[in-house]
Amino acid sequence: MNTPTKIVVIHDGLILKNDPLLVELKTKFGEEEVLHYENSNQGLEYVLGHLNQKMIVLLDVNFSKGELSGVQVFKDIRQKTALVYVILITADEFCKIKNEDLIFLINHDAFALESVTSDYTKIVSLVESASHKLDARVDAVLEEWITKQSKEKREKPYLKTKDAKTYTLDNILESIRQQGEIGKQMERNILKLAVDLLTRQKTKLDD
Amino acid sequence: MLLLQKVLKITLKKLEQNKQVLNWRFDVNTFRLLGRELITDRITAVFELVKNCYDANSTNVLVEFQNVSEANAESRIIISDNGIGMSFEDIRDKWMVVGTNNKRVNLFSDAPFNRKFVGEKGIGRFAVDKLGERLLIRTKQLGTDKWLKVNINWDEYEAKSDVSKSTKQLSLFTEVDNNYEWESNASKTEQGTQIIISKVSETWAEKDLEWLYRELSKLVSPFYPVKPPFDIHLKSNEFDAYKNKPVKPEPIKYYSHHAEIGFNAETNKQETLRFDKMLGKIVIEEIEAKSFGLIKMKMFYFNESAKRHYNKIYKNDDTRIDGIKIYRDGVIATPFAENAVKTEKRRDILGIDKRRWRGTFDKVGTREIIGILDITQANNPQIIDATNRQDFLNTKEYNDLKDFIIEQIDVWGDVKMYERESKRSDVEKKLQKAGKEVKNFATAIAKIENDLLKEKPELKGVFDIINNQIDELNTVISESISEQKKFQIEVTRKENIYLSLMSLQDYASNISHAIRTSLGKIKRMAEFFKINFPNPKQDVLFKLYAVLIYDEMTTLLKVTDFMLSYASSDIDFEDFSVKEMIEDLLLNTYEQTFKSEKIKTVVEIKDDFVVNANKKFFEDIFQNLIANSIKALQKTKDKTIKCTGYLDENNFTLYFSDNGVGVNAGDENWIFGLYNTRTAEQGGAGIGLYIVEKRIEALKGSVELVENELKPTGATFKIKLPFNKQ
Repeated sequence: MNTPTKIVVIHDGLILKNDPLLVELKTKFGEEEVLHYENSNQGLEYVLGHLNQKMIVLLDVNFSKGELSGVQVFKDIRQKTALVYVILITADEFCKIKNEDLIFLINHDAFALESVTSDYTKIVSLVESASHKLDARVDAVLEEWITKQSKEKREKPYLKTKDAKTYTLDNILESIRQQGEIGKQMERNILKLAVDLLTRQKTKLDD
Repeated sequence: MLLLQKVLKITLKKLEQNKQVLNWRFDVNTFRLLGRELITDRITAVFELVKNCYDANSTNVLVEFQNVSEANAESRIIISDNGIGMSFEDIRDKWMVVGTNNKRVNLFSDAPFNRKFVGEKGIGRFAVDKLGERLLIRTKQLGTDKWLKVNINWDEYEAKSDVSKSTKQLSLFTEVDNNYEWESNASKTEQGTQIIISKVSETWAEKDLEWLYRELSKLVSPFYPVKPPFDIHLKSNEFDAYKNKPVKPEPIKYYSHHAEIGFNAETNKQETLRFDKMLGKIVIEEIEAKSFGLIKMKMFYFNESAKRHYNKIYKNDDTRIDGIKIYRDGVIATPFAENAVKTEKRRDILGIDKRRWRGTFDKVGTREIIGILDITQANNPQIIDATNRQDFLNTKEYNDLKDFIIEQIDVWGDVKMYERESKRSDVEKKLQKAGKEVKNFATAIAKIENDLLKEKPELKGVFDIINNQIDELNTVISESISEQKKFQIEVTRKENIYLSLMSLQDYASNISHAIRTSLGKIKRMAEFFKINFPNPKQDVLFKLYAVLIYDEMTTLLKVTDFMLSYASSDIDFEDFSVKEMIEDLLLNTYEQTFKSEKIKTVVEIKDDFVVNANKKFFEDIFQNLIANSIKALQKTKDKTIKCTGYLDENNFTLYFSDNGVGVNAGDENWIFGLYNTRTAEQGGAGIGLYIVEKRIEALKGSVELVENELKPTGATFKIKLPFNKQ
């Protein structure tokens, strides 16, 4: 059974508590799983404080003075993890977003960019699609597995290489979250291995 | 467990062997969005594709338009070059991948060309996307015996991404297969690339080709020969003027002044411009070479009458006078190798215009000067492209170069000022001279009168008439002189107003943000009705939404009223005293309201300050502050609103206070945001302070919440309005 995904909405242009978007998200994902922050600093704080949870973030681009911009929040999240899907929702014309920011969004895997005037059903279906992908992503599954292990197990050296480097599960987790080379290559190898095992019928999925 | 360890081991080993693996994932919409930003129009699109030809070591490029003047199944845009061509891997790994410009390994093309790359990496696909829906690439490298043909169909991408929308799945761009085939029996000596675009998206008129021609002509420096050559031809089967027209740099005409600086390589001296006030003209001086190396620059300045003439000839097309362009070894250098059709979209990399906004109007801007700066790889190796290719690397040498350019431009500022002053003093001098002559004349007449009247007293009447006329003439001239002075003041003031109007564009975009936010809310609620009504389980929400939609509409109306205030005729600027306006507002206009609310007012504006601005805008600021105070004062016993103000060297500072409930700690900045309100029950929509801040920002001022002046509770806003010193 999958652990539930938290939907973190960081947006100051929604009707508090009762916005149809929030209502629909709660219906689909459960009352407890949808969190709404109007203040981007607080929203970011929540995300960074709960990296062990599966999360999808709906993020506004513009915030009041003194609060981080949406793009900055996105950057701060990406600094810690690549495993949180972020959907940006803006009331501005898209062309107001700076090119370098757009490039950053593309290259750091922003899930989608939507207008605040889009149908909320469209946004909800984007969230559903992100949630589905989150369940199916190798890295996310790997993350989930590692975070389920006990603390000692995670801190223990898990592997020693010939040149005496050691890796703990936590090291691997960090590399996966930050999309480091080890993490990325690891994902690819697991997929290859899975295909290999399944085609040779040496193992069955019994998990 | 063991298996996972094994995987990790293999992983580490693989990493050793292969450090570069590409892994792309992206949203098609975002990709398209980026394309739209990078390629703003089709002229830019062609321009970018031609730059790619240059990078491929071509010596000849043919840009061909077939049947493009009207929507046509046979319409084609074909760009052919004789460059080095692409291999299958090039297309797969370079052409089809989104580049961010910082991954380019080589900066120069192959010998013997050694061209500095000017094309932006990974922009070709965006450019083609802008021009048409279908693309056929035909390409061949030297020594191979086959042409490679790749078909890329944008409309299919589009279709796929549409399908992906309906199935609620995001498709990845790279998932679309492209057909390719080999065309054999080619001569091994052939090489080149052909970009054949069909299903052309927009029609091209002769004017568009003219425009394209002009932009392409800027690619190569008019004064520095490119070796080996890079020749562009423009061909159209519909417009006679472009049957097979070689693209040549356009001669620069109609300027009022021009100057040219070079260098002496033997003595290592650089020439520089200086305006000599005594001579009233620009002189060239020699200085020691600067850190960035020796450069050549030609400048063409358009003074006011030259610009008028120019605009008349070119029908107000001011994209032609386009500031300073830097050419490296004869070819336009990044980041200037961009062609933004909208002048305001062009990046002001040298900071030429920024300088004007800060400073006075005597500075010369990019629309008054055409400059061609030639640098070379050999002479100026320290001017290096930044990895993002948006600018040059921020080296000391580049900064020195920027400063040097600005110094040269400022010399034209001196010319501008000199011309204006001499024009001004010309009129004044003439008037003063006329005044003096009249006086001399009067003295002469008086003398004649004196001598003559003794002999012929009967002439007295005649002299009286002459004397009257002299008096009248004197008055007229004095009046003219003072009129002339007044006019000068008027001109200066108009320039001030221009400065404070700059942010109106920001304004419009702010308002559109507000409206979209509101519309988004309303739309989502309406959508909810559409999907769910009727459903007794949702009745609570239906009722709530009905009320909210109504409220939101009311808010929206307020916002549109605010917006319309810009469209109304009373946008005119007028002189008015801020002191009088505030006193009038607080002591007269609101007198009745304050009486009924039992609010005491204290108004102490120490200095007077006359501004030339839109009075309504100013009143808006205070009306919103007053409305807020009234709300905040509801539960206070002895209600007070206080407004004080004074003038110092640079600003007019105002404090606006009440002794109401005050603002929660932590909300100091938040309160200025749109729709941010803590008084929703009292009908607050969160627009008032937003308007206050935007209005003040438009006047280049600032507003902030400071410690409350009135105790124990209350709010104090500090407003600072800067004025332009002349």
